[in-house]
Amino acid sequence: MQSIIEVEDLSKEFKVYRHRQGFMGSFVNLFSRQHAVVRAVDHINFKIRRGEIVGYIGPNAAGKSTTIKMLTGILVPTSGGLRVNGRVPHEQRKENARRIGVVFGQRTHLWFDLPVEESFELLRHIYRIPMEQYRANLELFNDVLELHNFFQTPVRQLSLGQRMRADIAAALLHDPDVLFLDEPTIGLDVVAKERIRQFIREINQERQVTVLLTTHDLSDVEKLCERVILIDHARILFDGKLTAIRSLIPRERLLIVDYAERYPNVELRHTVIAYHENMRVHYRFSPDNISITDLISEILERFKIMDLSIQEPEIEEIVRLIYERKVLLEGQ
Amino acid sequence: MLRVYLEFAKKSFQKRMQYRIANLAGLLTNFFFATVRILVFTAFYAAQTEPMPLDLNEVITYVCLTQAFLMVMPLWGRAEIAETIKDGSVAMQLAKPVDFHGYWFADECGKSIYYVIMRAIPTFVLARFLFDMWIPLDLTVIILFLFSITLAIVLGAAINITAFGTVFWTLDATGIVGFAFTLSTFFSGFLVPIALWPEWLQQIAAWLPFEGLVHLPFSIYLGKLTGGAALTAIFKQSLWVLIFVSLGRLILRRGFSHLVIQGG
Amino acid sequence: MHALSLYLHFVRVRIQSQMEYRFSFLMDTFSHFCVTFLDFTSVALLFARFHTLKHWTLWEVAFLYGMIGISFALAEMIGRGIDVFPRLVVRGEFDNMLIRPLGTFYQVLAYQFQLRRLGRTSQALLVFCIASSHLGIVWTPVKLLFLIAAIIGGICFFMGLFVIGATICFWTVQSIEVLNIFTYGGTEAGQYPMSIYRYWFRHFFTFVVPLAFVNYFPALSLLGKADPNGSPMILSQIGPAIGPAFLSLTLVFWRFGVKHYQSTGH
Repeated sequence: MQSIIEVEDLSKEFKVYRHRQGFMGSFVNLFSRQHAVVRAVDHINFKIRRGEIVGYIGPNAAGKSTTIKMLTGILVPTSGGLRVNGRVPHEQRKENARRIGVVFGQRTHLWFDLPVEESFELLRHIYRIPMEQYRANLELFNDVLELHNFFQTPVRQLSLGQRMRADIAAALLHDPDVLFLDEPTIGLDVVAKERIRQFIREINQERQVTVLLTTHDLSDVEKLCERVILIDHARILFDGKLTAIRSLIPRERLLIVDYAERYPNVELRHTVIAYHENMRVHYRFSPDNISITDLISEILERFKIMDLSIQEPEIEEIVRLIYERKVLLEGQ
Repeated sequence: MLRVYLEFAKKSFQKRMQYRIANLAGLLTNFFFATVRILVFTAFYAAQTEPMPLDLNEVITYVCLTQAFLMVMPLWGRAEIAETIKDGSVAMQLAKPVDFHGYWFADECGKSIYYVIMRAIPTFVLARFLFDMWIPLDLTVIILFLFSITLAIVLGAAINITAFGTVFWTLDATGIVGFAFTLSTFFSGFLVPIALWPEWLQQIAAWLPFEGLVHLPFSIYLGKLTGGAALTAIFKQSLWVLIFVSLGRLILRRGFSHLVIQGG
Repeated sequence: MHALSLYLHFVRVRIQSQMEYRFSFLMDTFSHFCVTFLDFTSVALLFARFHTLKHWTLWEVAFLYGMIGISFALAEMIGRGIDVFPRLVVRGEFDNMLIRPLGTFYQVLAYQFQLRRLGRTSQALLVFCIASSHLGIVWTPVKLLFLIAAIIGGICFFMGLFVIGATICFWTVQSIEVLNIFTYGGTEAGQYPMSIYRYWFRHFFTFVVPLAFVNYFPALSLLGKADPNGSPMILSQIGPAIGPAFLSLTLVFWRFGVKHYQSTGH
């Protein structure tokens, strides 16, 4: 199958300016500035085939967002080549933009002070989406994401989960070939995350939309991606099937529950109590034996709780293990 | 208690220190405007034969003074605290054991002191060399001017707080505040020295608070108001300060109770 | 055609959201009217005291004042988005513009539309109409077209200044307010005839910052007045064209800036 994204020897450097201190310093800053060069992406290569979902993972500041910004035409690379759908994003920015969808988890790409509906209408005009296509898409997205609950609400008033649903739907209105998702589940609760993942899966399967997803949430990757590209310190550390590094991902999760009352028996199926003090209980469990949603619904059925959180394994841990065990780069 | 407010003023001063480059740009802008105005006045005076209430050098000095004190006056373009009312974060102030009007006042004064050092003084020095700005050498004049300009700054802060206090009700101050600032810009004599106005308009200006911002202190500076007249001017300024401080305190008190009823 | 209808769509949405605060909007428009009205009153006060300004009458100056006022107010109304550009960069909103299949400058223009500048526009227009009736100018179709060209030239000129200011943000992130000298300072200087200024000042605003071409020279031609400094009449006739030329030049700089855009938080 043909590649839809091709990245060849791609690098991006940033100039970081140092500010001189003091009054005279700030005066001198006006005319000449000292700078250091930081390499955010360092000679990376990869290809993505049409219809794949690829997890682009790595610790913070590894170069994930910079790569996405180059693929979407926001940043101009320092050197190397890249093609999306056969186009060079920063040279054919508008043509590329017409065929891709982009979502940034950190902030909305919609118009902050407009109602969701108004934003969608603007997008319909911008991308010149035919009315039938627009209506059909809206209906489909509404079924899964339940947009109608907040369709008239200004974007700035949406909760994080609602905003993300609106953002993803908006990015798909014009039926893009590729969807770039930069930390789409950041800050969301378990249920909201699950809903977003479900939607991404559906879109990928039914419409053959290629998805490149950056995240530092490993459960996103486990649930969605067959293939992962792991980047650390601007370089690709691993590129291959998820199964190849699955053994490196710790299977056990920690569920921390603060109960509202004192219960005599707080044991749960398929879990081990690791810690118990007053009304706080730590459970160890493996998602292979019981799904998180089942676990939570069981708790909510039986008990009253104050708070609940799940500790996910961290990517830094995997990166460390890869260095330790010298897992080799898997050639594509 | 006063120490707390001095501390607020100091903090506000330090906050401004971060924007030194912007200040440099502002200084250039001040100079540009001074240049345009001086060139225009020079052209107006060129063909003039009859005597004027102010001679060309006095007008040039006046123009330099307006540019030196433009940013010192707590009037134009100072909306930071009003923004906190608009976005509701002002409610935090209710939790603090300080008087909000006093806090706001201290904040404005801190900014003014910053601008005296960073704008007024450099402007004085540069204008002395570039435009031959006149500087009084009479000690009484200097003392009276310092007294009067301080009152002008305090009056400016008091008017500013009163105008912005309406944000509690309108939530977007640009309208009313813009209106108040327009009146003050014109009737203070900032645009055209009041001494050059027609007699009837001068009479109107004399009954308004705004002349205390620019016209009165600058007239003292230029030696146009001396002795008893200067003291009367200072008395007038003090009276307006009293009125606007009371009005501002009243508006803020009402505003906060309005805020509480509205639930922030 | 699509670009224009889409732009109008953006403008409509913006106006709707500004109308949410109707009272404030009306007050603001009104206060803008007053600001500029008192601004002009100051000019009139000076003439009341001095009578003439180097062979220029009050109404001739009012004519210039109205022309530059209309251009600047309209430039601010349309070009508000360029004015607030530093904010777009800091908040990362410029990233959103780069992922759309539209030109960046176009989107920055469409980002805001400041209807409240109608207050200033109408005041300047009023002054201009009164001035031209006092001066007894006969508006032939050719003259009217020339006037419109001069106003458009003026709008382009001011937008060009905004673009320079915005482009600098690609490197500094903060806005550098030095450009205010040429926008606000330009309107201030342009209210009066260039001929009253000193040699160096006049040449600066003719050849470095081409303000005279979009205001003073076209006004001379409309007033049928010869430049007291003896500049050739041809400058008056080509004047308005300098505006779009200046804007295109600044847009080259803009495109260069976009290539150097670093985005925030890599």
